[in-house]
Amino acid sequence: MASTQSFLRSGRLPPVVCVLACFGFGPSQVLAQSAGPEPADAQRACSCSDGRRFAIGASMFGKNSARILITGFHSEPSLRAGSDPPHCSDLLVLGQIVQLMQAPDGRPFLKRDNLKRGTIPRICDTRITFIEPKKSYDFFADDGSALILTDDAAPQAAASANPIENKPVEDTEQSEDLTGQDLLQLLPEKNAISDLRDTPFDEQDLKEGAYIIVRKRSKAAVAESDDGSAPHPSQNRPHEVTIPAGTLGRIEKRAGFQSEALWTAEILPDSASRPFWSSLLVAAKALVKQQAVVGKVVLPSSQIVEINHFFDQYGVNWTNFGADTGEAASEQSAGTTRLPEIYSPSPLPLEKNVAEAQKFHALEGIEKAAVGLRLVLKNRELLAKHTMLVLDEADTSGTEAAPDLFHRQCFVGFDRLKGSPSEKSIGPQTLRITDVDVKIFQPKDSEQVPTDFYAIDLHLTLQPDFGDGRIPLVCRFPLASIDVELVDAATRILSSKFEIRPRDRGEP
Amino acid sequence: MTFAIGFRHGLAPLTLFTVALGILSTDRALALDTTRCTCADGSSLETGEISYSIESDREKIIRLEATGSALDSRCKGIWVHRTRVHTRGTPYQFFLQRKTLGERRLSGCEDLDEKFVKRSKTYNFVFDSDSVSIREMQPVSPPKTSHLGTDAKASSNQNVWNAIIIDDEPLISDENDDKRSPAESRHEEFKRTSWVFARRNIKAHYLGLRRDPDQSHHIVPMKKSRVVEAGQLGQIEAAQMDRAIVRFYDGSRIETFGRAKNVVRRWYDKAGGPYREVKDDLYTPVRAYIVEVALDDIIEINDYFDQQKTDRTGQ
Repeated sequence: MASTQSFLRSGRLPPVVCVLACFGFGPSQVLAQSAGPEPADAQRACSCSDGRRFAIGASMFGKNSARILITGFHSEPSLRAGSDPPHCSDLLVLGQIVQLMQAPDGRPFLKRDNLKRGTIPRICDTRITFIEPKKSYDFFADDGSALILTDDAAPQAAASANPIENKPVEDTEQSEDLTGQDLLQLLPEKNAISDLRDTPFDEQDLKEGAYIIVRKRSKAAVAESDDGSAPHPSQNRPHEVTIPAGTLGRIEKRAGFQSEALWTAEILPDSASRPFWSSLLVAAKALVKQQAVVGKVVLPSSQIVEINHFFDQYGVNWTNFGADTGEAASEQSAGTTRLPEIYSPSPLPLEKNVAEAQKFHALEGIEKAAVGLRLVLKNRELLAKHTMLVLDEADTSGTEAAPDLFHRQCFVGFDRLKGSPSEKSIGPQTLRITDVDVKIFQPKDSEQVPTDFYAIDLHLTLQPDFGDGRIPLVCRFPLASIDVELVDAATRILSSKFEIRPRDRGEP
Repeated sequence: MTFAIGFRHGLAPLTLFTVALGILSTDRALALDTTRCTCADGSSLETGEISYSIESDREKIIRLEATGSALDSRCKGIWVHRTRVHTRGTPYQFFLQRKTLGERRLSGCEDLDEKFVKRSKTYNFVFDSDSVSIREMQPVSPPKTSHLGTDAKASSNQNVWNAIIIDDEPLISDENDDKRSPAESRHEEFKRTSWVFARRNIKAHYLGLRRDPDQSHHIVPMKKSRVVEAGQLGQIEAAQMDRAIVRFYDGSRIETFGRAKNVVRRWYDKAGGPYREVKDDLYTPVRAYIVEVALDDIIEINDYFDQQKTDRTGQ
């Protein structure tokens, strides 16, 4: 909450939930908005029989803040009857790396790239573990000087950025006097990508080589030099320096423990925005004594955050000064033109849909969820009409709809019912689902739909506890995925006319 | 019969005339008007089918010429009527006007660049028609993935990066993936930038863009909502099967006469205010807002014009 207040003060909201208005509108119009509901899938997870649990959003951390993130999973329908969470099959993961970059004006920023998107098959057969995502950090909560992705201080003409790692290091033997040297060039950066293969990934986000961001303005002790000595007075370096909020750095090594873990970190100079008052005094810059933050300092764990958490919380892939470069700038300029692909992505091709359904035994899962369910008619007069009932998801009032190729609808074949229930019977009219099938519907020679159009039919057979014969029920879902959620969607549509009751106890 | 007559002595001129008449009548038969015809690729066309492009510009098949029998008629000529929708006014006060661009004849399906579709999506539902059970479908052969032979038990946190099987290829190779029409093309009339008209007062929610940790985007409804008044004009930003994101313009409604702010706006505009009438300026945020609405609550502007038998909105 405090962070939101900070952003409001500075005229911005965190970009995690960016109101669509901000595509084309100014930031001021964003202020009136409040974030919507929490994502429903935030808690989605699967588990293995040995107790390991894999939640979407969980991560493992490797070298140089590289990480592997769970983005989804396939579950085993045969093993998950009634289980919560379901049994894991394959994990869908994303491998990300963080690179130190340099804006055209020389200022450093960090950029995260998606390097490897794929699957870890049969996760329960492996010995891989993940950690659950942490609670959101309350960034910069204590001092109000929020780090925002402002473009005030960003270079206006910045069009591209260079990874610092690619620049040759001229001299590896450095003197202790760093005056006049470009400290960014001195970081022991190597190609982060090549050695990921041999890198162990674990739950520790703060570790040697990890990129960090300083949460709030604070004083930090200057680290001892490698030989263990404090900075010599002749070096004219203070024993304690003030680190601005939002300063970036990189952990060099562990520096002991003092009620919490301490870290020796290399601070990236000029990686944080100048405070507002400092910006006003740019003209009188020479008069303002700048206290250069250089070299290595000792920081406690509570003062720093591993950079991936910052990226996640603010929904970005770059820190300050990277916002006007490369893909960030093009994303900004795209405006609302990207909405169609976000709002309505291309449907799953039919072949892939069926293949995945077969691979993950979706039909068995659907059968388990649907067979035995009982539909109790809310309106007894429906049967007397002996006509097909059409129910539309968009119409919750339950009024009859016309069959529409693009609507999610259910068709109940009351016209197939032989005989009618006795008018004198006062008990509930119940239909039990006895059989389930999933069919692919593709209209032939239709000029109404594109050639790649298809719909998934959830075909249910109903056995009435009155009258003879069976009643077919088809719920048609245009371009839907074949999975157990079809049963939930069908019961939602049917609930306008039926009361849905679970199967009888003791029924298989 | 005609040729038999032609070989009789002294009847040569008559024969020639008759043959010519026969050719003419045959040619006329080739160019018979029809309401439906078939293209060489098996697809068919019908009069009344429509193709939409940006900003509700539209082409409509008004006449078809075909050869062959009534049962198997091949498309020979396709007459298309074209219209374009223009904005008139300023963002403070504007209306839409439909202009006819004329008719053109396409000589066969080969000249068709656009996809023509029927407007109506209703159909006759029949149980078990045009559908096949996935039980009856051949199991798809397992994809060629290199992980099948690897020992999963050997994977641990020490080598997890290598355990990831890259999804660089689709599970099933589909050559048509690139050509696949974008989702919005399912509703041809609700393309991005299509003009729409609010049928009734709609309570609509503002939207937000949420990023997941993997940087994928999702659109989420916000708590804040507003009422889109009946008759408001807007443009489609994106459409799903049954919903759409629409940018509505306040300036499209006739405001109450004498409303002080409207008077000031008009004066400001006439006095050379900041706005000049340029069509693209309607995309500016001047008195516009973006919300999500149900497709049933809006009507595509050409449908509105057709129903009202007019070529302009209000004002």
